Amino acid sequence: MFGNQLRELSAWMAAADIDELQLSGPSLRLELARDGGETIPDRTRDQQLGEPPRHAEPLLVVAASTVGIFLDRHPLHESALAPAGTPVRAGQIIGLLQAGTLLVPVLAPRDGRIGATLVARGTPVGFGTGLIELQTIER
Amino acid sequence: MTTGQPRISPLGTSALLFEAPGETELTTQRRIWALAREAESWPEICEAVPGMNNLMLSFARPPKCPETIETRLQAAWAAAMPLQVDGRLIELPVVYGGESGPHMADVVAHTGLDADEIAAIHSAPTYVVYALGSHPGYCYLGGMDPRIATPRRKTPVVSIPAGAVSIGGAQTGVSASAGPSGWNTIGSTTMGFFDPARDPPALLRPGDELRFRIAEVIR
Amino acid sequence: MIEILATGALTTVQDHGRRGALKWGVGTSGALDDLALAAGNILLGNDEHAACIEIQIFPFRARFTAACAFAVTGADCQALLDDVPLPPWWVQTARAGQVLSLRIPRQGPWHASRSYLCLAGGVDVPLVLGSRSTQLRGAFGGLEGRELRNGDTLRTGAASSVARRTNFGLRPPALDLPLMVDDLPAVRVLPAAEYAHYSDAAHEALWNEAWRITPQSNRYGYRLQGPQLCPVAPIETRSHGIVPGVIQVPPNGQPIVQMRDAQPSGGYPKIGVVIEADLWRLGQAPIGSRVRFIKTSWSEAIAADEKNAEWLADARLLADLYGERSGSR
Repeated sequence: MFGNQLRELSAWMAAADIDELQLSGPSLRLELARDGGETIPDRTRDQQLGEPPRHAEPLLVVAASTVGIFLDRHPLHESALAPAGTPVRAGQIIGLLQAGTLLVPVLAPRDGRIGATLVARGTPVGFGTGLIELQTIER
Repeated sequence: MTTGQPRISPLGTSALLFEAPGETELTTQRRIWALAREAESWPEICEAVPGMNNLMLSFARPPKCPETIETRLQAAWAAAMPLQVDGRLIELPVVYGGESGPHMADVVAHTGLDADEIAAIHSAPTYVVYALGSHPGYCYLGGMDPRIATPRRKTPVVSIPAGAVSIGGAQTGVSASAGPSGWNTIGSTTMGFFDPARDPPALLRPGDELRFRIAEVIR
Repeated sequence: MIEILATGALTTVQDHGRRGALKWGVGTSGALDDLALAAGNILLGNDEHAACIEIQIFPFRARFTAACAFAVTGADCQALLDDVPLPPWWVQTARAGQVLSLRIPRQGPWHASRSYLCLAGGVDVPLVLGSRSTQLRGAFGGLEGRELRNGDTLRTGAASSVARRTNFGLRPPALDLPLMVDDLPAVRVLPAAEYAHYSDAAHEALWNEAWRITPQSNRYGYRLQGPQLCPVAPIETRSHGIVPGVIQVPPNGQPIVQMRDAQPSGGYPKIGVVIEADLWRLGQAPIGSRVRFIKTSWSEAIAADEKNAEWLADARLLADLYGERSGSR
């Protein structure tokens, strides 16, 4: 299973022209480079990740579902998809991840209000990188 | 018209245009038909499309080196013998002038002949279908009397109807469907030249012959 | 299956065109922006020959009468699925009853005028002489050989057998393959047979003028406005085969670029030919906009074809990798 995912990831990187990729998980850091890769169990990460900050309303961080370059707007548009303060519906496109010529949507997982954007437009991000804060609405 | 040697020129990288030298004539056209038949068998060529003493070769894929094809084409032309075709003879009744021939007056003005003379000269020959082009089923005809040649119009007309009989320069033809044209319409006929469900879809082919019969001349 | 609720004139079914029928006077027709059509089919995992709907006049509205994946490429026509905006060059799935609205294209970094509605499985109309493109002059092909009208319904062919993900898109190729001269969109041109018969002033004008696309421009030909192009001496030409891209110069000296519905032969002198690889750029240039011509060579034109093919191959690779990933949506 993991081997298949690695192969997929490699194909992605090649097609999207990404030379280096780092993935972080609770007990694992994975570095992939185009000419090879290694996995490094990294227990110090347990302390670094910590708990998400507490707010009056539940704050979600919408994370990247795939590798790519984060965009807050479509390349043909001047205005952002979801500026801070915008109310959004579940499933709404609030950002984009560009991989080569492909554009993958960043979707609001729930109804809510857009908070801060954590990543600058044009930043390459990895799977799981926090992108956009979403203040969800308690129902 | 080219003098001396045939001229080969690119039409972008989609096609090559081969133009035979000299005056437009039937023997040259028969050689063009022969050349078309030969070139269409080449793997680089999608289609060989005869024109008036010329041939367009559309590429299946543009070659990296067009010079190779050009050389082969020149050699094939040198070897091309006039192709004899078993053509059919079709006769079309034509109403000349009046509303059927809105540009008859321009041909009169250019040639100095009157409508009756123009109709008589136009309907005298047996025309050979040199090529199809322009629009589905349209035939380019050879054999028109140069006395009624009239230059193409300065600005093309937005639409002339199916069946329009027109003169453009030294050529004549019949429209198979309504559409724009830079030619001078002198008359009108009725005929079905094209049916996409038929095989082949065009009624006429290069080598067939056409006669116009005066149904009426409206002054 | 879709039902046309509201369409302007000049909406037609097109694929990549009809080849092999020039000998009967049948021009190729086909989408004016062939890259947009190809991209739409790529997003859907369609066969590359699948036909689409080309829209030139906006707004346009259609209802999906059955669930259907679709893609809208070409001009950024601010597509709405019911009331949800879709990004440009995007594939999405419609439920039965949903309405797609395409609005007047907005002009951002890329100015474009035609949109392409592609459907999973392609528009299902009969093949005529090997193609589903509409042959307007001959009144065949596409839907009954005519423009689409309000009330028309169109069926789709069988969609790709592999379940495809939707809700993703492609960067428009205009951004990845830019071509501008002095801030104007440009197209590359190969000189044609009669090029040498034109004056130096005509050559100078051809390569340096910002040619304006007049309102008399359409799928048959783009009539351009600029300096008169004068030959050194009157040019006699006989009727000969032409291809889309041929730049004809009638006696009034104003060039006409033959486009996809152009007749397959003509007798006007030709000064140059817009290369096949750049026809999509011209096909998207709006009425009233201006374009520049760039003198090019055979090898550069071939290289341009290859760049387009590479762009499409990359797009297809990524779209298939992403679109065919099993499991999550």
